[in-house]
Order: sequence, then structure tokens, then C-alpha cells
Amino acid sequence: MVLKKYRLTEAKMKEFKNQIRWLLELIKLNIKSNLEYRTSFWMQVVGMAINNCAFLVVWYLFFQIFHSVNGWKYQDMIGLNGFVSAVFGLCFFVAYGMRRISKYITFGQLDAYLVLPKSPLIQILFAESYVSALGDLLFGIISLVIYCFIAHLSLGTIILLPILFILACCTFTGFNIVGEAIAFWIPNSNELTDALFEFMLGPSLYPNSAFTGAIRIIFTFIIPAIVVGGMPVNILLKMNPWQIILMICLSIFWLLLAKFIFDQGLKRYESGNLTGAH
Amino acid sequence: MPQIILENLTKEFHLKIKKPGAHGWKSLFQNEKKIISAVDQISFTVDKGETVALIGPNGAGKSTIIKMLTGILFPTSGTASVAGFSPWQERQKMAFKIGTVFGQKSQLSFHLPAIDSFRLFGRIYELDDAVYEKRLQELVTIFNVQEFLGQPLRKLSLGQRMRCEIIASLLHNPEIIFLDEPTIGLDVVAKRELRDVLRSLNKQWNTTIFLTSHDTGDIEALCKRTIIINYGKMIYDDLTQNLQRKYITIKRIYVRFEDKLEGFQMQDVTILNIGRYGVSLEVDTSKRNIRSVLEEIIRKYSIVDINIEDPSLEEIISNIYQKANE
Amino acid sequence: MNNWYKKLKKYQEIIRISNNEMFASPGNFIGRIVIFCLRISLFGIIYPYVFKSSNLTSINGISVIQIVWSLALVQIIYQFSRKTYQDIRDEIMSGQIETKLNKPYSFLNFVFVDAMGKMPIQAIIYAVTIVLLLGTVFGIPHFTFVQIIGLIILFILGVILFTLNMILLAICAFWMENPDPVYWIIGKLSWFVNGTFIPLAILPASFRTIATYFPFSAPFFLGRIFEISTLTGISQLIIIQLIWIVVFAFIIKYLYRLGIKKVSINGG
Repeated sequence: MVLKKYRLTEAKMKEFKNQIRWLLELIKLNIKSNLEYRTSFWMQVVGMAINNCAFLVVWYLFFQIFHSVNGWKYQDMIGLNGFVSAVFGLCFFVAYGMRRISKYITFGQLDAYLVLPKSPLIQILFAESYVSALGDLLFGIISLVIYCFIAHLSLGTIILLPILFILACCTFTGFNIVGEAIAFWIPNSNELTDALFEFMLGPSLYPNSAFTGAIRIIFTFIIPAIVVGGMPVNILLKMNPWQIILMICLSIFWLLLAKFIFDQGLKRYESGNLTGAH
Repeated sequence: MPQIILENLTKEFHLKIKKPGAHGWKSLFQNEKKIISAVDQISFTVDKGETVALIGPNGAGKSTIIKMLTGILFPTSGTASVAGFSPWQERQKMAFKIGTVFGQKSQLSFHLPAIDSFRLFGRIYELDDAVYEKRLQELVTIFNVQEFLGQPLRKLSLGQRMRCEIIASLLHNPEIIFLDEPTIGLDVVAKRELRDVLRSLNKQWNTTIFLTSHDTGDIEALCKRTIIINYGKMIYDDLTQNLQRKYITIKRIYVRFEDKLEGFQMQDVTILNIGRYGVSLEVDTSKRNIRSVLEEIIRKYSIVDINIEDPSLEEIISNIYQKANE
Repeated sequence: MNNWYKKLKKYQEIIRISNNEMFASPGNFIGRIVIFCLRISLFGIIYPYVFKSSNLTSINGISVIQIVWSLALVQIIYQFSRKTYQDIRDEIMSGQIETKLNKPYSFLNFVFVDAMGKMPIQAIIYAVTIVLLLGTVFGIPHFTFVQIIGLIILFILGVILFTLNMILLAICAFWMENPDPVYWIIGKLSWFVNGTFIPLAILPASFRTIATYFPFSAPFFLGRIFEISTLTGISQLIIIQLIWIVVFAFIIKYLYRLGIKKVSINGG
């Protein structure tokens, strides 16, 4: 009996190990294929990092005029922009496939993944990489480090930062997948999908403290714009266990919803046959 | 038990049709919906080790069938079983047992050497490193790809690329391999090499081969059995050699004469062409015995040379399509 | 005479097709308008909020309604020619441009006419959208007759100039592996002086001076309609736009000819 249980866990361990080894190989390959073109790689990365500094300048000018927004000061905008950029950067650098799903659907490119014995969703996620996102990630990390110093964050909250970061990444990924999977139902909907993405990313970069009342609820529960930046920065500023729990719940919710909608959509997948792809 | 079973497999597509003349603003509202049966109540079985060709004109539903059997598309109705699994319900389990090659869609990374992609496939199929290495060595030898294994895929020729594609789909030693137009775009030499390799594959490991193709050469060289589909319906399912036997009711005779020809005539024979020293004839063997034709020619004329030919497989097949359409 | 007529017909057809393309996929068209509404709504949330919490009624004589309206007007310009840059860049980078060289039309004219052809219908749609969205929430600010006429002229010239801006940046692809970094940097520099996030009216005077003479901020002059509302002021802006249009058109013609030579000599 004991032996049997042991064997079961051993099989599971092997299964787990296989999955991890596969995922690592997938990500490695993805990044490797981008490194093939080295010069343009670094130009894009550095270009994007500089590009992002423009946001910081805009908000600097804004806070020169208005000083504070519902308790948020300019330094918090560094934290917010850093956090959102890092989430965006990591997700798109290793898993840009999340923004390509609709194209895969429209042009029938899911075929190659469907015939393999692994989750097609995960394969697609890690199949592509957005090079300049590495610039966003670097910019984000540097900004967050600076923020930790100028906002005098305590060691405890700094330890919390990676956890909040992972939760935000999960929500970000889940929401993107849901938006892209619309293409299963409405072909050629890429601009509609872009609109949804914009609805999350656009507001997430504004001083989130200005979102109050109904707008705050919409940007938390319907479009997680606050969840991927404003809420974690708020938690760093003022420790709030309820908000942490909310972030955990929302990240699980979006991931599950993404999986559910994608699986439902697969049943309608037409392999580019008659979806009007030219 | 057969390895592949299809029962009344059906797939319908919903098509939006734009009304002619509906442009700009109007096109927002004036769409009509139409249902097309791409695959209509198809049933057949395939045993282990068989080599089957699925052929038909463009849009006949070949690819749709292969896509349903490999778990890419959900059928509208009907059932299927591949290697003991339902393709769309147990897709991932089935995937360990099958290999797929789509001639027009690459599974390998375009920017990286094939060897990198192979390693990923090794992980995807959860092969132990030792097994993977051994199998890769075997395949590399069979397919003769050592030289360009380390070059990025984009630098390879189409034929070399296709060989790499097939290796990727064979790493896990599948029981069945599905190929959708594997020789499309290849030159004559590359086509022949590919067919040789696939044939030896079938012999060596008894791998079932199921392919769709436009190229009758693929079918003649590779497939013992042929299934013909037209407008989503099955119109022929038998041995490839029977295809010729059954449908060859026509023979062509080319005759060259010693003397200048004047006023050639013959009953129940179609005269295709008359030259000064020769004729080409078509004989429908159901109407007139070929022997009597030859006898008549020899009796009446002094001949230099005579050739009797069967029509090509391609002609036979296009004949079958035409008959089905009528 | 007949020749001219045929040429006109050709470009009329281009305009017809580009307009049909716009409505070919309604989802995409609606998506674009939705994004536009989102952007102006965000300004409509942030600015009234900070005005209220700072107890401000106006800055430099500009009220919060005027701020939101001018930000929205700036956003309209961005809606045009958004694909012009990408299309030309890809055409050059992929070498496709060679195939266009032996056609009986000028590729640049084609791109320009294509972008302009979409202007009238889009302009009406966005104007209606702004009036509906901001008009119902905030009300419509007071416009003098001069301002309205000025707005229309600044808008039309602005779209033309913005399209020329995009074409100029895109044809950098003749000389660069990928012109995106230049496009980004110019785009971001423009942010500070074209009123994308903060209207020029409430920024320090030095920004306004730069904005007047920086060619990449000139397309967005209509966002300054509340700051510069006199006949002479608006006329000045219009003249500046006209000058830049002529200058850009000449530079583009010249660079394009150089670039084409480069392609046909090197074979792409």
C-alpha cells in the first residue's frame, strides 16, 4: 500500500520533471531564435528602455503642475510605471504568444500545436518573444529599484514585491488570452482585441489613485487595469492584506477563465479553412 | 482491431457570403450565411501497416478529414478513433502515437537549426535523452541530413526542409504518420528521395502511412490503397492497382506504317490523329476487343512499329472526378 | 485634358477602395473608435479629478473643459495615417517596393492619396464621437466663429502634415535596417511639445515656444485653439503649417528619389 503510493508520487514527479524540462527548452529556443539577429536585438532593447523614460518625464511635468493626486506623489508614478513595464516586459519577452493567439486562429496556425501531446495554449504562449519587451523589463526593474529607495520601502514590503509581481503577471496573461480568444468566435477581430488590450494597459499607466467609485470597480473587476500596477503599488505603500487576497483571487480567476474560454473556442476552430483568411 | 476507424464523419462550415455589390457601409449589414458540408458521412477503416492515399480535387475535403483525424478540427457529427483514441476528446494522448507533416505549414523554427527544434520535440514527446539520441541518429542516417543539421532552417532548400519536418514527426516512433501534401513544391529528385524514405519507413517499422496528395506519383510509389473524395463524399476505396484495372477500359494504339497512308478507316475505334505515315487510335475495350483491332491493322497494312499504352493514373482519376460530377 | 481626367479617375478609385477597406471589417473599425473614446475618457477622468482636489478652476486662463477638449482634439490627429508609416516601412524593408517602381503611378502619391481619401468620413465620425462623448459629460466649450474656421483649417492641414511626417520617418528605412527607434524617439519627443498628455497652455512658456517651431508638433496645432484664439494667432499657426507642408513635401520627394536609386543600384 505504502509502496503503491510511493510509486504514484514517483510517476507524478517524473511527469512534473518532464513538463519543466519541456517548458525550459521552449523558452530557451524562443529567446535563442531572437538572438539570431543580435544587432537589431540590442538596438530595440535599448531603444525601448529610453523610450519608456518619456513617460516619466510626462508625469514629472504633470506633477509639477498638480503636486499630488489623491495621496500619490511623483515618486509613486515611478513605482507604477516601473511595475507595469516590468509585468508587460516579462510577459511579452518570454510569452509574446499571448498577443498572437488571434492571428494563429485566423490563419490556421494552431494546427502545428494541436497535433503535439502538450497543451496548445502553453505552447503558443511561449512560442514567440517580443524583443523590445526586454527593454521594458530592464526599465521596469531599474525603476522599481529606484522606487524602493526613494519611497523608503521596508524590507518586508520589498520581499512582498516579487509575489505581487507574479500575481500581476498571471492576471495580465489571463486577460490577454481571453481578449485574443475572441477570434474563435469573430474572425478578423484583431483591432477589437487590440482595443481590449488598450483598455487594460492604457489606464494602468495613469495615476491610479484618481480612479474612484464605479470607475475603480470597472478597472478592478471587469478590466484588470488597476490590478496589474496600481493595486500592487498601493500594497507596497500601505500594507493591506485584503488587497493581497483580492489579487490572488483575481489572478486565479483570470487564468481559469482564459483556459476555459480557449478550450471552448478550440471546438469552433476552423484551421483557417473558411474563416476568410487570405 | 483497425488502427483508424471513421464512422459517418461529417464536418460543416458556416460561411458568410457578401452580397455582390455590397460595399462600404452596406457590407456592415448585408451578409448571408451558408452552410457547406466539407465532409459528408465518411466511413472507412485502416489497419496497422497500411499505406493509404486520400485524394480528390481542391476543396474536396481531404485536408478537413486529415485535420479531424489528427485532432485539429472538431467534427459536426460522427465518430472516429485513431490508435484507440478519440482524436478530439483524447487529443494529447493520441498525439504520442501519431506523427504529422503538413506540407504547407512548418513545425520547425524558421530561424534556428533543425537540431534545436528536434531537441524541443524530444522534450514535447517526453523522450529520455538516451532514447532520443539513438532515435535521432537512426533518422538522421535514413534521411541523410547530417550535413545541414546545424544550419538555420531558412538557409535550407525546400526538399531538405521537408526531410527535417518528417524527422521531427518521427522522433517518438509513431504508429501512424499523417502527411498532408508532403511533396508540394518539391522538385523531381527531392520527391523521389522523399518517397523512397517513406517507403523504407513503412517496411522497417511497419508505420501506417496516411497521406493526401495532388501528385499521382506519390500514390503510385507509396500507397497500396487509394480513397477518393469528391464534394465531401467518398467515391472510391480500393487497392491502387485495382484503380487501373477497373477504370482502364481504354487503350491507346500508336501505329507507324511503311507506306504513305491514304484514307484510313476503322469501325468502333476513335481516331485521335492521322499523319502521313502513322495514326493514333483509342479503343474502348468494352465496345471492341483489342485483339480484333490489332488483327485488322496487321491484315490491312504493312506496319513498321506499334505501341499500346494505358492512360496515366492522372487521367484515370480525372475521369473518375468527371463521372462523379455528372 | 483627357490625360488629366484619367489620372484623376485612377486616384478616385484608390480613394473609393480605401474607404471600402475601412468598413470591410466592422469589428476593427469599431475597435478603433472604442480605443479613441477610452483615451479621451481617461483624460476626462484624471483632469477633472486633479482640478477638483487641488481646488482649481483654471490654469493660465484655461478651464478643465477646455483642457479635456484640447487633449481630445490632439488625439484625433493620431487617428489618421496610423498605418501609413508601417505600410511604407514594410514595403521598403521587405524589398517589395521594387515591384511598385514599374507601375504607372507614383508609389508615394498612392500612399498619400490613400491616407487622404479616408480623411473626410473619419473626420466626421470622430467629430461626432467627441461631441457626443465630451458634449454630454462636460458640455461644449464656447467657440468663436474665428476659432471654428481656424479649427477646421488647422485640422485639414494638420492631417496632411502628419501624413507627411509619417512618410518621412518611414522612408528612413532606405538607409536603416529598421527605422523604428527613430520613429519612437521622434514620437516621444513630440509628446512634450504637441499636447498629447498635457495641453501646452498649462506648460511653461518655453515648451510653447519649442512647440511653435518643432516640425513634428505642428500637425497638432488644433489642440492650441483655446490658448491661441485670435485671428492673427491662428493665422500664424496656419502659415507655419503651410510652410512645413511645402518643406516636408520637397524633402520627401528628394529623399525618395535618392532611396529609389539606392535600391535599383544595389538590387534591394
